[in-house]
Amino acid sequence: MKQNLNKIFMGLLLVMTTILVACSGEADSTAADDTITVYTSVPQDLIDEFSAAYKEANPDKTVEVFRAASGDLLSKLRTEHEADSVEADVVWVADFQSAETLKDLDMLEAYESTEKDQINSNLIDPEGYYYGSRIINMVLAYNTNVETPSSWKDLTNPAYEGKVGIPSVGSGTSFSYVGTLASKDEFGWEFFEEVRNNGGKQFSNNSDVAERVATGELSVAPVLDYMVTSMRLQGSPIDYVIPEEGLVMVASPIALVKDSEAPETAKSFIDFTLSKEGQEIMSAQNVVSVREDIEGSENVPSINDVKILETDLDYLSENNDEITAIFEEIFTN
Amino acid sequence: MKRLSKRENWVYLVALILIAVLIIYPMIIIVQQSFLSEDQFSLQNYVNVFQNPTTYDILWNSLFVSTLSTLFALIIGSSLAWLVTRTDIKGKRWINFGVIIPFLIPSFISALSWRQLLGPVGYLNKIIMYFTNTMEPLFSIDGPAGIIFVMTVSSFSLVFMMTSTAFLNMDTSYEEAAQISGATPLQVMRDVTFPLIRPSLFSSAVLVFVANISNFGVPSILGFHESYFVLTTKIYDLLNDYTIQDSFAQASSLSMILVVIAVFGLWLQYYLTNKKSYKVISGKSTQKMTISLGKYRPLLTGIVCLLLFFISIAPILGIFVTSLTKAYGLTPTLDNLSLDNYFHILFQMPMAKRSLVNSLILATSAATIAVILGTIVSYFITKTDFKGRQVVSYIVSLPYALPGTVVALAIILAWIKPLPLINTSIYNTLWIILVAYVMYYLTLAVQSVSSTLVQMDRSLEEATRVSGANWFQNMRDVVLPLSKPGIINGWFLIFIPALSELTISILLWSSGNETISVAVFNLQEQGNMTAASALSMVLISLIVIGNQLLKYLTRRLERN
Repeated sequence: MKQNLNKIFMGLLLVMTTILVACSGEADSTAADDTITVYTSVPQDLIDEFSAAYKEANPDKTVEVFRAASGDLLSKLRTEHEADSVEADVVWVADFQSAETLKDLDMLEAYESTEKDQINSNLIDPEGYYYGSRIINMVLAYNTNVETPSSWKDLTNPAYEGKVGIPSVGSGTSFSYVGTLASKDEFGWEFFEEVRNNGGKQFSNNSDVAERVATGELSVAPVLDYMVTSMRLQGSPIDYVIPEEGLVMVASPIALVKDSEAPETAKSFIDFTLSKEGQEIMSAQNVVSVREDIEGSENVPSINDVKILETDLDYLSENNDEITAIFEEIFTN
Repeated sequence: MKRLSKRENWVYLVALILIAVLIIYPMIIIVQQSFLSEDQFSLQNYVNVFQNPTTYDILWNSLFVSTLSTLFALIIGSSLAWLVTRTDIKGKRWINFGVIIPFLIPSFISALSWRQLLGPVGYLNKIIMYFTNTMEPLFSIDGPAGIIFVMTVSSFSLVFMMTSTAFLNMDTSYEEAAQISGATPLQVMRDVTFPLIRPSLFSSAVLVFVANISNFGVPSILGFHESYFVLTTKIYDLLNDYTIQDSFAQASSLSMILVVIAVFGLWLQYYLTNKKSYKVISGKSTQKMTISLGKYRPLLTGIVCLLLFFISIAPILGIFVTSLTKAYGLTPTLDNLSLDNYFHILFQMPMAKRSLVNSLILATSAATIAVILGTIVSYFITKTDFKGRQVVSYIVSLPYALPGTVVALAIILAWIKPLPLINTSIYNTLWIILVAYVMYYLTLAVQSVSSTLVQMDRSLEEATRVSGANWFQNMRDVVLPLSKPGIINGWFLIFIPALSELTISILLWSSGNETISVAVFNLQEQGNMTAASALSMVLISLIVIGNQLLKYLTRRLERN
């Protein structure tokens, strides 16, 4: 008996040592310059598909992914920056303002992508620090079992009382959306206060909100268009309208991190994202491409045909901290 | 004091240095950080924290949910313990089984499961809405009431176990005496039974309260949408808010409130266990007076079984059903059920696969390292007569008494800078999580091994020494074999909770270094409830396997 127990115990120790040795070996290989780490707020399934496609095109490269909301990413990057141990090689966030924040912190490196000429020039940072990689739009999602809304103001409509959601401003797209509406006279912060008074609640991010609209926990909410489209195509009772005031357009930027240990791999990943092949993956996911040589998906109305509620990027960058603080104050009371 | 060979002193010295590096250093750093403002010593952070009116709201929320859930856990846990140990209630085996399940399930999984049943679109709510033909859900698990409910469910088992022991060790002749002198059953309860189990009630109350005020998963999953913040979730939120310049300093100051509460709890715990309790444990009379429930027996049996089914089986069923549905929100009819989610997380989603490997590596290595270090420390505490060795035991138990959020913060602050000599930082690697786990769980190994070491008679070791064995031979041939039950028990006591640890991991994880609980948490945050449920079921299975293995090994050891 005792002998057996000894064996079991020694066996456990052996297993552990093997695992430890095996993974310390793994850790060594990640230091090489053909491995990059991408910090992104792109949904898990999309980034998984993307890195798999990149890996297939470049079998000798490895892409590691840290996925979190834009706000969480910025906070982690800032912490790493202060400790002088930045792990990211590429950042791929949801909104221009997040990229601007990193640029101001001197954490980005300008880079001329090989795909530059094919991309809508409005979506490229004039100094070349970041590139819009996909166009995503904040639209008004609703559960198809309730009355169809028509305007952003429907978020304050008593018909939906208690069933109104909004992604937290920790999400870059939501930040852009909130900032855009707050800067307009017809909305302003009073609008968000009314949303809150109508029982509006904040949720962690867009996909969470979209799921809840699909299950009926929420009736209406501002959400990213492509998430609604893919859920609708799967048969979920969800759809969206482009509100009469217009949708809020967000161009998710990708950028090279300063002092990357694998700059060449990082650049090739960025180029791949912007390439025809990469953009076709986007298009298949019902996301609008930034390339002029790619036709939109049939499920997505062309960006030229819809009304857009213009975003004032200067307002966003000047009022960065205030937008977060006021939103938090309204939705945590 | 016996002559000590130099070599064994070196072993103790290394162990003590490790403890200093692992535990004392991070604790000093976090206290220091809370006093730093713009690299200068100041009280500014505390002024900021205590001038902010929301601090008081959050503190109040923390105290409110922890106090009420502790109270409910005490009532449910001790009543059940009384029914099982002292009355003729039926189905005691099943009741014991039903009580142990919520204890095994990590509280954040419990919160997720309850959301499947009583969330706005939970199954129970949907059934009720169907039958009553209403549009509005009857219950909502979100918000303070739900947090209190789930915390109660997750912590009443501990009260049950601690008070059961007290009930079993109690000499019932006192009760009999009171009854014979004409006291009514209620008077016996109030004047005899209750005072006898009071120490264990107090003791479990402290443990449950500190555990609940340190809980992160439950208030985070059930409180965020209602904007209901407690101290742990607020600290997490602060650390993730890039718009606040000195978020680390503010978080450190805020976490000092939790440190004060935890240290006070630890002190209270020491005080209560060392205070002379009612020693009415007698060796002879083991014949327990069993109280007959009479005509209430079937009724009480029914209520207890229904209650336990509801709080321990139903939530697992809820999360199990969700893990089988094709898309979240679909009615779980046969057509909509499949094993796709399991296939997806086990074979397709790299993040989920990785998290399983990572958690297994972390739990195995943390348990092994903690047990090795813990055995040396236990020996040092129980078998040597160095001055101040009790202080070591106090220091080792400190991190476990602290909320995981504080431990993680201390670890980040202490280890983010590149290490000297090798010039790389363990921040952003799996190893920082390992360091945190060892720091946090070390005390469990020390307690477990110590409990077997104190039972070991000194004469055995003296005999070995007299026959010329040195310290290492003595360790190998006498101490280790004899303390094996404690070592194995300690290993599993660390392995099992480390497998599902969330609070520390959620602050320390980095790309490729997700743990299972981080993966579950992130999946549910992205609204991918079906995958989160499937991964939760895998985690629950692993925990059950771990427990069965521990039971099996313990039984084998006892038989020897």
